[in-house]
Amino acid sequence: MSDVNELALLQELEDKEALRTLNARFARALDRADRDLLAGLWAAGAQVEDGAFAGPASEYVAAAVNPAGLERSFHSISNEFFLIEGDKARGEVYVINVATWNKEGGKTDTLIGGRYVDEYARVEGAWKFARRTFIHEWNMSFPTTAVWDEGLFGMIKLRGLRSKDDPIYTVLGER
Amino acid sequence: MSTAARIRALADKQAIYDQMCRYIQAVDRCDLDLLKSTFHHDGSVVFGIFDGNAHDFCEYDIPFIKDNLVWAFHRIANVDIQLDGNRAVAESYMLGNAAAALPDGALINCPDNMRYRDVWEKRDGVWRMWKRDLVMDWNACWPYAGRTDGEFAAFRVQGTRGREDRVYQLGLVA
Repeated sequence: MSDVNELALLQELEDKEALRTLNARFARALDRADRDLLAGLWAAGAQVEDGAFAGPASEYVAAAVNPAGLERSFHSISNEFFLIEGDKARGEVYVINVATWNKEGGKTDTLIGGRYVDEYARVEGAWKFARRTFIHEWNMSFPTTAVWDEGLFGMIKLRGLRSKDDPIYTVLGER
Repeated sequence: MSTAARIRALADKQAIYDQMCRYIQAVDRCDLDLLKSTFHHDGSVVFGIFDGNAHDFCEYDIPFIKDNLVWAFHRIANVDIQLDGNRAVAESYMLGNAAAALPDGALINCPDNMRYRDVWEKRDGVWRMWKRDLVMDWNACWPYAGRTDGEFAAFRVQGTRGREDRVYQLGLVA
């Protein structure tokens, strides 16, 4: 233990923390439909497989930022596991995406459970996605039963939005 | 505490968290070798489905999962690790979801919320579990609501229990 370099340990802790933040920002970018945020998360030449999409990140950003019929989404991530190798890293991140869709005259809630399997690259000091693959594990679909305007839920006035009008952007200083 | 000791404590907690993720990878991919690697050979568990030596538990648990669950998916949250030198006690929340087949073949969804109550030991520089006990807090049996039509048919990558899963292709799991 005495020969372990504490600076190397600190570097690894900082790298893992930065990768957790990168993953949180990916979730925010999708849930807030934040195209600029999503576009800035990728290393040059990054490739994505997600759902039916496979291709360069630049095309993924346009396709993923506002899917037709999506009313709201909530990408909840956990089990973030990373292997760091210098300026490259690999990782696996669990996700459940809870979403409400408004299609064909009716609203549906979907829960999709899966994992992101990733390659990362450190670009000018900042960690970016070099390759991101979504692995589908399971899904559930239910009729939407959300209550927004009555009772306890009706009292909660700050609401998630798919735009820069979302409450988070006021504390981030982007509004 | 010195700065070096504070950094080492954070690194120890990160190493334990990484092993907690490894445990879930092993269970969800049904990877016996990976599961064993998260326990010391003389470790023990109290899981109800099996109580006893940890490596014997691993040998029992992987076939048990394959026999009883069509698929399983475990998320961890609320991790509290208390370090004491080369030993640590930990509690972590687990939010599971799984599908099981009824005798007539119909599927049900069985979400469950449980906690792991652990004792970890660092030996030869590696943290592994010396004890892991499973505490059940909640479960449910829901009608199966999974779909394979429409946009769900278009998903390009499906998780598997075998070595064809992408975590092996990418070398995240040896």
